[in-house]
Parts: sequence; structure tokens; C-alpha cells
Amino acid sequence: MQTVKLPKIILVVLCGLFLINISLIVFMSTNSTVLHELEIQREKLENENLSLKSDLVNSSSLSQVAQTARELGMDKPGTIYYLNTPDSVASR
Amino acid sequence: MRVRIKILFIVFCVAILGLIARLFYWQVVRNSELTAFAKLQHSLGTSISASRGSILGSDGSWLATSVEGWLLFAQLPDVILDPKTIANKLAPVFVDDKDNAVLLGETLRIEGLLAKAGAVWVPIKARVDRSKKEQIESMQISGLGFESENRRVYPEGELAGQTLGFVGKNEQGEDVGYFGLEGYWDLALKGKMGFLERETDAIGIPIIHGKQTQVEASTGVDVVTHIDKGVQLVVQKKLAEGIDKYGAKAGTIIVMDPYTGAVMANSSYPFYEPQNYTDYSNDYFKDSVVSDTFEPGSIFKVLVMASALDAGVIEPDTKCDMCSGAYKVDKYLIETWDGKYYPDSTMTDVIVHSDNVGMVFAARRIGADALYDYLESFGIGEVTGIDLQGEVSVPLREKNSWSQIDLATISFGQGVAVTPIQMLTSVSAIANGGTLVKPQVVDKVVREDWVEDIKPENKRRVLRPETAAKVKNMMVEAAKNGEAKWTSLRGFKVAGKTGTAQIPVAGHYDKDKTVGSFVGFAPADKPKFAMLVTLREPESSQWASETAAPLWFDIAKDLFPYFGITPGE
Repeated sequence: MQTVKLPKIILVVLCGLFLINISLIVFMSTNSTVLHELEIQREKLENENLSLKSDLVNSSSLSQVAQTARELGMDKPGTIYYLNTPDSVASR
Repeated sequence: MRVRIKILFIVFCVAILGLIARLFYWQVVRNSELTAFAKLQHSLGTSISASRGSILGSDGSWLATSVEGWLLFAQLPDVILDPKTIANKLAPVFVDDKDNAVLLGETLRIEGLLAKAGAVWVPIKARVDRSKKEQIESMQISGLGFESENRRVYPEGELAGQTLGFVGKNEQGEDVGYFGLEGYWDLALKGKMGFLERETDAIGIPIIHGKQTQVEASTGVDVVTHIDKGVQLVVQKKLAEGIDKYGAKAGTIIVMDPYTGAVMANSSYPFYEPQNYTDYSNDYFKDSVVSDTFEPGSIFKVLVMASALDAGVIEPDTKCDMCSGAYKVDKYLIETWDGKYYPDSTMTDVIVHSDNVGMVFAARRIGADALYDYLESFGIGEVTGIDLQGEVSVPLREKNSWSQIDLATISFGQGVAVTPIQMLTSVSAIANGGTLVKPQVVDKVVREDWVEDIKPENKRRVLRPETAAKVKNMMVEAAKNGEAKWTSLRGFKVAGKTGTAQIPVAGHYDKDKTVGSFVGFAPADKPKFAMLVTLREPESSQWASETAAPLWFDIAKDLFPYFGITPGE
């Protein structure tokens, strides 16, 4: 009786191990794909970030701003008047 | 039957031996080669780039940074059009200047690359920007492709070009910073590349829990400078106007905080654009402020006068008993610059009139050895240690070897060579009350989670505060009543001194070639800035009082409201 059961148990264990193995392979492979996709997404975002930085750098150039301001007719005052402020007087 | 078995046995033996031999060949003889092939197939190694840090102005805005860029390459087996046609299409995209010779040069360069015999992959143009990439892509030329790479940009164009330097390639094709800040801070800015090697499956997807080796990339640091874009913009604009107005060949302007040594603006003419450095010759890259020396002439007098006052051998009201005429030293006759002599003039008058004979009087009082010690203490003859690449210094004539004529000429700034940064740093010691500070361009070094504040560095005390105050007063008088008085700004207390130095050419001084300079600080009692202007070989006038001095005051006029300096301060 016992001699019949033993191979069956071994067979069941082997099948179980096989199924676990398959599941693990599927799980790892799925995760690898997810990781790969995340890496591609990160690279894309990094490139987009660089692209946005490029626009920001160009638009924040003080020389460009000064040039545009001049073209729009803005100019710094030619004469500056300094006013004397009256000395403070103690009040009762 | 037995024979057949024997034959079969022999055949099996031969087959087994053949198999062993073959296995030996694959596993032993070609082991390393096949291992490498296998590794290539299932492991992927990539370098992780470390982006170069930015150079920032004092307000945190960009002076230099790295943005997106592309390398244009050609996969020659896939190229269908002939090299000449492609070159004719591509060259106009890269050449802004539509000069025929430049365009032709670029066309020939590209054609040569595409016609390279035996080549499969050739790089055509590095650091291509987005608009050019899109322009080329719209041409739909087969065989051309783009590889992403970082591109160094300088958004302010030629603003502070020499101070910034540029990023070029070394012999290995790696990015390297040259000149200025890019050169001096290259190691910190460029960071360190990383590396990632891991096992992948047949289609290149990484295997989780597979073998993995990773060396993290270390990104370059950002450097925050003291450069104030507003001040730099004014200085650079005015320098260009001054060069044009006075017909000078070159010029420099530095603006510094005399208490901390913080360099707020630094400009050398002729300017260049670091981003397009390949369009300029090597002469443009050197920053004259730190790399060129000149004989300072009369601006040097304030250092000699300060030395004599500090040594206690004269006072501002000490009278010169040899100022009634030209003075003979050995076989040489020392004269004043304008041929006018002021008998019994005080030391303040000597500075106001920029009197060479009076300076010889002061120098003789202090003596060669003590003057040498003071000048050395002022930093003359040694580099200032500014954080810019390429600083030079000409040593002082050796101590104990000064003749009477050496002592006499040095007293009015001849026979001694300084860089503009040395000169301004020395005068800053007078401005701040007597301490020699180290000039600094960089204020902070910043990484994502870490900041290193670079503190101002006091080198040593050169003068007693009382002496510094006396020299300041003399310089205020010189600015108000000296030969440049016509250009001074009424109501503002400026300390300054003009200097006109003839340029030594082949062992003698050329009277027509001069360097005009003006050094000063304001407000004199508690200066917010010290500034030096030098103009090389001005044509409109050889005198600094008619070139460098008005330029100094013209810039100061814009800086006063910027720094909140009011009249009477």
C-alpha cells in the first residue's frame, strides 16, 4: 500500500515544484518587462527635462531680455535726481 | 561477426576521440573568445553619463549649463545619395555666416567624411541643437541618424566670456574645460561617469535577479559665482563703447568687493562667445585680467605712498624738498608727466598732481628694502590665487639688488609688472582698511544635497587702518582735484587715481603707445565696490585722464544707483 503512495507523492511534489518554477519565471519576466518600460520612461522624462531646460535657459538670458527691452523702447533714465529728505523733528 | 564488432568499436572510438577533440577546441582553445561572445549576447554594458554642472551667476541664473544636444552621424552602408549632394544640403544648416569660403570649407569637410573609404559609421557634427536636428530630419536623407548627447550652452553669449572659458574635446574625444572657470573647476564640474553591466534576455530586456554590476555616476557640481549679471552687463557694454570711443586696441575692467574679494564683474576686450569658440583664434581665450601683465604707471603710486606712510617715514603733510624741478638719479633725469613742478608740495599734493619727483622723494625716505617688503606684502610679485585658470605673475626684482634708479622708477610704477587683478587686489587693501584679501569668483559649490560655502579669505594685514585712511583721503583728493577732476561725479565721495604707462618695446619706452588706467573705489569711507579700468593703446588721447578715467566714472554713474550709493555718502 505504502509502496504505491510514495511515487504518487513524489510526482505531486515535482508537479508542484514545476508549477512554482513556471510561476516564478512568469513573475520575473513580467517584472523585467515592467522595469525595462520604467527605464525607457525615465530616459524619456530625462530627455524631456533637458528639452524644457533648454527652453528655460534661452528665455531667461539677461542679454536677450535687455535686447528685447531696448527693442520695445525701454531705456534706463538718463538723469537721476537725488532728493534731500528733511531731518526728523521730535514732536511733543 | 567479430570483425564487424571490431570495426564498429574502432568507428565509435574515432567518433568519441573526434568529439573530445572538438570539445577541447571549443572549450579550451576558443574559450576566451566564445566566452566573450556569450557575454555580449546575454549581458549588456552601458556607461552612465554624468552631466556637467552649471556655472551660475550670483542670482542663481545660468551663465553656463548643459542642455539637450545630438551627435549627427552617418551609417555609410545605408547612405543612398552621393556624398557631395548630402554635403551641399547639410553644410548650410551648420554655417550661420553665409560667407562663401566658410560654407565651402564646411561642405568639403562633410563630403570628406562621407567619402571615407572603409568606414561604416562616421560622426558628422557634434552638439547639434533641436532646431537643426528637426531641419535635417525634414530632409529625409537615408543613412543619417542622431545620438543623444549633452550640449554646453552659454545663454549670455559673449558676456564674461573669458571668465567662463569653454568646454572643448581632448585627444580622446572627451569633454574638457579650458580657460577661466571651466578650466579651473573642470574636475568638479564634469563629475564622474558611471557604468552598468547586467544580464539580458534574447531581446535585450534585463533579467531581474540576474548578474549585475553597477558603478553609480557622480554628476558634476554647480558653481555659484559672485558674478552679478547686472553689473557685468553694464561693464561689458561700457567697455565696448569705451574701446570704440577712445580707439583702444584692448581693455579690461574688474569690479570687486574690496572687503571680501568677491569679483562681481570681470571683462576683457576683445570679447568672444564661448559657445562658438571654434570661430575664434587662440588669442581671444586668454583672460587679460589674470594672464597679461602691464607696467602700471601712476596707479602704482598709491601703493608706494601707502608703504612710506605706514613705515612712518612721511605724513600726508610732509613737504617735498626736491620737487622744484627735475631730479637727477645717476645719469637719468626724473621729470613730471606734464613738465610742471610744485616746490614744497605736500605728499597729498604729490598724489593729486601725480608728481614723479615727489614719489622719488617718498621712495628715498622709505628705502629699497622696506619698500620691497611692503610691495611683497601687497601681493606684488605673487599670484593672487584667484579661481580662474591661467593666472600669471612677474616676480619683483630681487631684494638687495635694487639700484637707485630702480627705486626711483618703481616709485612711479615703471620697471614693475602687474596683472590687473593683482593691482585691484592691492588697492582693495587700502579700500578695506589695510587687509589683503584673496579675490574669488566662486561663492558656493552646490550638489543636490550638499552646499560648500567658499568663505572670503583674508591673506594678511598690509597697512594699519590709520594709514589706509590717510591714503584714502589722498585718493579722494586726487579724484576730486587731480588731472581727471573734469570727469568726476559731483557730490559722490570717490577715491581714485589715474595711471598712464608707456609700453616698453624692444628695451625702450614707446611714447605713443600707452596703457591708460584708473583705479578707484566708492563710497570712499565704506566702499561697496572697487574697480580698475585699463585701456591699451588708446588713440584719441594717450592720457588716462582723458580715456580710462571718464570710462571709470561713466560706469560708476550706472553702478551708484545699482548699489544704492547716494551723494555725500
